[in-house]
Parts: sequence; structure tokens; C-alpha cells
Amino acid sequence: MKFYFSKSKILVLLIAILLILSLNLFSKETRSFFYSIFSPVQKTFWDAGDGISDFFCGVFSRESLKKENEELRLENQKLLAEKASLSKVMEENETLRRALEIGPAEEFQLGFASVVSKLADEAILIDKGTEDGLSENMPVITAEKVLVGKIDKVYGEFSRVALISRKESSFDVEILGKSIKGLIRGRGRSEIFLDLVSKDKELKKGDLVISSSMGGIYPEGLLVGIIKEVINSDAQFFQQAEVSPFLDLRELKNVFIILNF
Amino acid sequence: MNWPKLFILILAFYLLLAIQTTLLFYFPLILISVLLINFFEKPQDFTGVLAALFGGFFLDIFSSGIIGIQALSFAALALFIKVILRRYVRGPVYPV
Repeated sequence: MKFYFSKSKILVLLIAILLILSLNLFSKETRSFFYSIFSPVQKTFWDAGDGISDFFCGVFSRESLKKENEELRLENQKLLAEKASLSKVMEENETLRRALEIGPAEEFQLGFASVVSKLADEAILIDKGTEDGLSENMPVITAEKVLVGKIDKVYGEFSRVALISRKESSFDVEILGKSIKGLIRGRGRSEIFLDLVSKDKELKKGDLVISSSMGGIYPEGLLVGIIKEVINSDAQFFQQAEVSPFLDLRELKNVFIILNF
Repeated sequence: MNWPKLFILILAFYLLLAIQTTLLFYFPLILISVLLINFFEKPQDFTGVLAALFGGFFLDIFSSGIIGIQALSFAALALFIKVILRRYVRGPVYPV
């Protein structure tokens, strides 16, 4: 085979590749170093991203936004009614807790972090690491208790959070208000689906999916998504459903890490 | 080696990676840039190969795999494009 480049150029390329490959011996330190170099610019872009995507969203999807707005208005009214009845239940719950001397409901111990960037393989980078007491497998949520994922790699000042939509991700969930259990699996590209739901259970579009403590990966009651479409095929032993996740990466600025549960 | 050109190349890919990882989640901006550089520069130029190496390396840093895999694949892809262009393509776009 004829070479089209001079020997010196090929030699430079080979040395560069060898140098790059040798960085695997210190992969944690290398990644941490580059994350700290990239993070200032990425943080600026990430914060600006919301405005930019909102602008393009507005330009390209005016009609669908109008429809979505109408649907949201209706949903808001429904939620307000539910909120009113829930506050009554909460009040009653609090009175009963006091009467039974149980004490207030336990909350998680949380750590705060900001999102720096999106990583490949359905993960995000946050600006807290081992120096802030974080460790692997800690669940990550948003302020609205929407499940983001779990920490899968910790560096000195940064951590890598594997999103629930990652292809290898699967965890136990339940349907709010129904005794239906299932398994959420990641599909990549911010998509998730519900699997292993018994065929005798009635799944409906609009059902809320929340985390279950059964697998021990996440605490129970964290918001996961809403059922978009139920797939009930004769060829399958279980029901499946397309789930629209509550997690919106474009809206994600800050997250909370559950330090103990 | 043209050092100012190399510096600009690294800086450009630094910015491209920052954009890909923050604004364009699933759009392969770096890969497309590498392909474009290699298609439109002169086949005997080496900038496209270096661009592929840096682009791949930066992507490796922001993925969970082995560091160097994408750098190596991108560089191989760049060399492959150059060999194809030089052997089979003759036209005003690629003056030899």
C-alpha cells in the first residue's frame, strides 16, 4: 500500500495515539483534569441552552404549543382540585401522627449540585464529587422529586450521573394509586418504557409511574413518568407501556443527591 | 508542524465539544465537523487527521469507555477518506 503522508507525520500520529492510550492508566485523573478545564465554558452554555432551545421551540412549534397550552390549562385545573383534597388529607395525617406520637414523616438527607454538561451514553456531569461526600450509586433527583438517575462514577470535584433512560438501566416501579408493579427500562435518547406488568392488571394512558423501593436502588415515591401508550400484545407474557419521562434534560439546571435513604 | 493552526484546531474542537455536550444532546457535531474537514481540505493536508484525533479524544474524555477508542477510530476514518479521495476522486474541489 502506498503511503500518502510523510513518515514523520505518520510517526507523530502513532506517538499521539500511543500517548492517548497510555492515559488509560490514569483515566480517573485524566477525566477529572479535562472536566475542570471544560466545565466553565460548558456551564455557561448549559445555562444559556434553556433560552436558546425555548426560542427555537417557539419558532418551529407554535401550533403544537397552543394545543399543549390548552391541555396544560385543563390539567392545571384538575391538579388544583386534587391539591385541595390532598391538603385536607395531609392535615388529617398530621393530626393522627401527633395523636399516635409517630413524629413527622422522614425526609431524605440531600446534597445540592449543578449540572455541567451532558455526557455520552445517557449521563450527565455534576459539579460535586468525593470532596463533597458523594459516592457511587447515590440516587439523584430534581427539586420536584423527579428521578434523574444514580451516580455511577465519582471524581474529586465532579460526578457522573447515569440517567434512568440509559439502555442498561432498569429499576422497580409502581403505578400511583393502583397496586400495579413493573420494571422501567431505559431505551436511550431520553426514552424509557414500562415492562413486566402482569396482564391481569389494568394499565391506562395517563397513569403516573413512581419509583418503588423493592429493588433497593431508589427510594419509593419518586416521580418517574406518565404512561403514553399501553402495549398489550398476545405474543408477550407481560404488558408493556411507553412512558413519557418527567425528566427534561433541557430544563435541568440543579439536582439533589440523596445521601441516605 | 504549523503550531498556530494546531492551537486554533484544539480551541475549535474545545468549543465544538462544549456545544455538543450542552446544547445539542444527540447531534454528532464533532463527527460531522471531522467529516467535513476531511472531505473539503486537500487530500495531502494533514489537518483533517489531527482534527479527527482531537475530536475523538475529547469525545473519549466525555464517554465512559476506553480513552483513545474514538480518537483512533476517527483518525482511521480520516485517513480512509483521504485515501479514497486521492485514489478515486478527481475534481475541482480537490485539486492535487
